[in-house]
Amino acid sequence: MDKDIILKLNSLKAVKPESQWKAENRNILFNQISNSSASSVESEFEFILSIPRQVLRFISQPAWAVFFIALIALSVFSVSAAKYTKPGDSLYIAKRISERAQLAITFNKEKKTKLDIKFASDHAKGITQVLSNIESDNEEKVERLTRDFKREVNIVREKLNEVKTDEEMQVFTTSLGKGNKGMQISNLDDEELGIIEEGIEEEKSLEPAPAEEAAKEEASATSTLQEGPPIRRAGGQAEQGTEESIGTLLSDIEEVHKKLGEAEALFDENDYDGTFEKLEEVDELIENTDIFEDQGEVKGVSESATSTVED
Amino acid sequence: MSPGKPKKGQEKKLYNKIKKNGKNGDQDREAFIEAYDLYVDQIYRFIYFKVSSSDEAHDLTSAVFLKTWNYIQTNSLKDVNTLRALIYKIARTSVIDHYRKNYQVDSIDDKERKIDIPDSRQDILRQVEISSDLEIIEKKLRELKYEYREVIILRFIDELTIKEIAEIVDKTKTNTRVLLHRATKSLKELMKDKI
Repeated sequence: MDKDIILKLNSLKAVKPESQWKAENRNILFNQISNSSASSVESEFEFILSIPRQVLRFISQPAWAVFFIALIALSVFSVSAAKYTKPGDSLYIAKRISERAQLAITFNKEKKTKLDIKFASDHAKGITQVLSNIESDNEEKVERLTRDFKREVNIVREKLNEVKTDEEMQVFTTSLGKGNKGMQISNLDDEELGIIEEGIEEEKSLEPAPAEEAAKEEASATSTLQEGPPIRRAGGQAEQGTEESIGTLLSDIEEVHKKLGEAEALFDENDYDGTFEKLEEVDELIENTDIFEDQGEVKGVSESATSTVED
Repeated sequence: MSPGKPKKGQEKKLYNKIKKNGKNGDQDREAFIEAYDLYVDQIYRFIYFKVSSSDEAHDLTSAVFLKTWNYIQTNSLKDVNTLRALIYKIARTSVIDHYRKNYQVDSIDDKERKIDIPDSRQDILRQVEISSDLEIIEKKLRELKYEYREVIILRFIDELTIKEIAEIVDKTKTNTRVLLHRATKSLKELMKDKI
């Protein structure tokens, strides 16, 4: 950037709040934080003391104890009974809740994606089973279930595309080096690539980051800088083995997409049994291919996570 | 407390002092007020260039420090590398919330407002010159995209490092570098059409 522009920007440091306002605000802030600290300490102390008393009083009553034990037992029974329910069954909602809970406690991105795909596929299969037993004149229900089926299939597609994008990015980041972990490339020009490479060199010359810094960098955002489709830039430095395994993976994903397309076509023809079988094939394909298997060196390079933009 | 760029040692000391007392403890109010003295100018400036008036900037700056205090009360600082980054993050989100509440899309169009130059020792002619330059650069700055403006302010006015900016805007260092490059390129283009 021109020195002149930088100087002008620097001169904007002259923008400051008035001293009087600063001093007044300082006093106000001090009073506010003093009051808030005092009251929060007092109320917290009382609250903490009261907890054991309340809990003891509660559980000492046998009726309540029995009630809670029964509630827990019923929950466990419901969740296991709900496992094989289909849309429309009374325990289906319990199944969905248990799936959500499972997703919430799964932090590994890959496992989470795999779970998402499995659940979506199960839902789609459940829908085909319901449709094959439903009366065809129940148009409203058929329409709703059809919409749900399409939605579940789209979820499977989206998750597979996420896996595909991650694999493509890993090839690029492997070839560019450590500093670009998780960066999604979108129409970077040569100048910007130069900046990235300069940054990598600069970071290499600095002391190695402490473990937590490196971990934070790894887990941080995969951000899109601009709109536009991601461009796969394999680069010249990617290992041959890496590219081959990525190629196999991508073709497996394409195969799954193809089978999903076939399942949808069968669904549209109202061949629900055929759809169910095709979805079973999709599940088998996902289980038997390496889509979610550890890819050794490539997978070990980064575990990119999608960030959420801060609002 | 003297204004100006905070010394690194001073920042670290304050941060550790506040962090050490932890949440739910007796927060070090004195340390926090010291932090206020250190950062108020920067935070005010950061907000000022995003909103349409100095009154709004005053109000939001006050709110930001109080929110920071409340945040420290209820959260540990283990996910925050510096106190400054935390305050900037809260300032950023406060401005966004402010826009949402007031349905403002951008604060570009305040043509009426002039920049206050607090140093009245400059002679009148020089003041006019400075005022004119500042107005031009500020006008161009406000014409930039929101995310470009943000990184320009953080880098060239508040002189934060790439690492600090990346933490504040929640991007990787590489993304931040590229964003900054695009922002400066964009500002350069705008400055060419000075008139």
